[in-house]
Amino acid sequence: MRAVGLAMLTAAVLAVPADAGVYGSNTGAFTNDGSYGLTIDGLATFQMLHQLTVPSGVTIAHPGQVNFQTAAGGDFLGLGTYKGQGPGQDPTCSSNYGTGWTVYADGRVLGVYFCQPFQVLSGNAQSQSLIIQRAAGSGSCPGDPGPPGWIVEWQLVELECFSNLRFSSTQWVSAGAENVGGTTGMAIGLSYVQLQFRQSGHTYEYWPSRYVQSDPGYTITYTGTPAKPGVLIAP
Amino acid sequence: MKRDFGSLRVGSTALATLALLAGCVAGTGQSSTSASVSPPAALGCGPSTVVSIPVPTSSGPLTTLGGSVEFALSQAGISVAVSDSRASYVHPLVPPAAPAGLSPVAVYLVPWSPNGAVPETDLVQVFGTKAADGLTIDQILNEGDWILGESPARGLGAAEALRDLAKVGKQARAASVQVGAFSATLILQDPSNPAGVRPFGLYWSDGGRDLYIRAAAPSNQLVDFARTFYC
Repeated sequence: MRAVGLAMLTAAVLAVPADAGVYGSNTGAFTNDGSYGLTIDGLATFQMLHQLTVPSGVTIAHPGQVNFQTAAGGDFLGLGTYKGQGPGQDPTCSSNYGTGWTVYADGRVLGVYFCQPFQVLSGNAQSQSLIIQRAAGSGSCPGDPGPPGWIVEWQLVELECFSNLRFSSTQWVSAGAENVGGTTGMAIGLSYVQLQFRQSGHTYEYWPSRYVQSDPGYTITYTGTPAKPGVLIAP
Repeated sequence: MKRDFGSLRVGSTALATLALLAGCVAGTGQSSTSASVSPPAALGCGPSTVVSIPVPTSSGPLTTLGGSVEFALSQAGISVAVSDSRASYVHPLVPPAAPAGLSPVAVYLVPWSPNGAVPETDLVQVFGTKAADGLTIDQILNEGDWILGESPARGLGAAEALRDLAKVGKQARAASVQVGAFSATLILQDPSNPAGVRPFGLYWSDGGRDLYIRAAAPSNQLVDFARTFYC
């Protein structure tokens, strides 16, 4: 029996503070978003970083990410490199205006954004392997016996296992380079030596060129043999 | 127009404890005593504990990439009726009434992943003032509309939601509340884009189903709406 007559239902006193979040405009050097109609459980980017100086208040980031189209909140997991102002205005990923690039993971879990920095690479680091992939089996994340989590790896070394993303796969992956708070055509400091994704139950395969798009102000050159294509971008 | 409902204060722990001591029966709203001066309240149906979730001074998506890729519900899911046999695996909860000022406008089956396995599919009910076709979840929330999602229990209840946020260091964004006999986790979420609203999400499991409500509304309204299922 419902007790809808309970008159004492939650007398709330509500404070409504202003949203103090600060955001910049985004300028993508290229974005590579979309639904490929595939069941994807891995994304691999191999970055070749270039030295550059980032103005104050600007972030340059090179994210690759798996996006989970869910009614629960469009959660995602990303892995990449950045310099300049910390991504997402999240204090956990502090600003880095030095010469190096910071490897970071970020994402959204249950609608809440997070960012986690890892090591700092040299300004001209070459062939940096950054992989996001679904773990192999249940209990794969330490301390969690539950379903397989998603692992982020740098140079084939596991950085973190996210057991809180309960998605077995996705059909939405993206990779790119962009600046926040900068200008169109600004140097972005990156080439992708390789872009790959993995379909569930398969090995990694190269990202078809038809899925690569550039924003105004940038040129993308898709290079390499069919066996090893890469993406070069330049303002 | 950006709205923000980042902090809430509801009731008191003491009142909830008194409700228990008064012999209330959770989930039924019935009291074992009729001598109370005030109407007795079942656990999770009366005043709740005082909770505050401060709005983060700086947090949010970095970019359009960081904002995830979102498609319209009508594109990502299948439009159905609550009574549709395809939705019956959830044993859908139908609220006795829509949130104030809103009406049921759409129901979708939305897969979590392209695998499309039943345990990875949500049944999503939208409450609003106009059709939801062509709108993403974020657009729906920005319109001031509400989302009620449910699926067969798959391990995403209140405790798991708290653990998930703790995993990424965001446990301060959550608070525990009671929905009838069930524990629930209230989460102050981030806008998905700079112009977006900051919604609340309420996550719980009633044993048979995992459920959530998302809305850019005062948090107590989400809790009260959830309670209408059980109180």
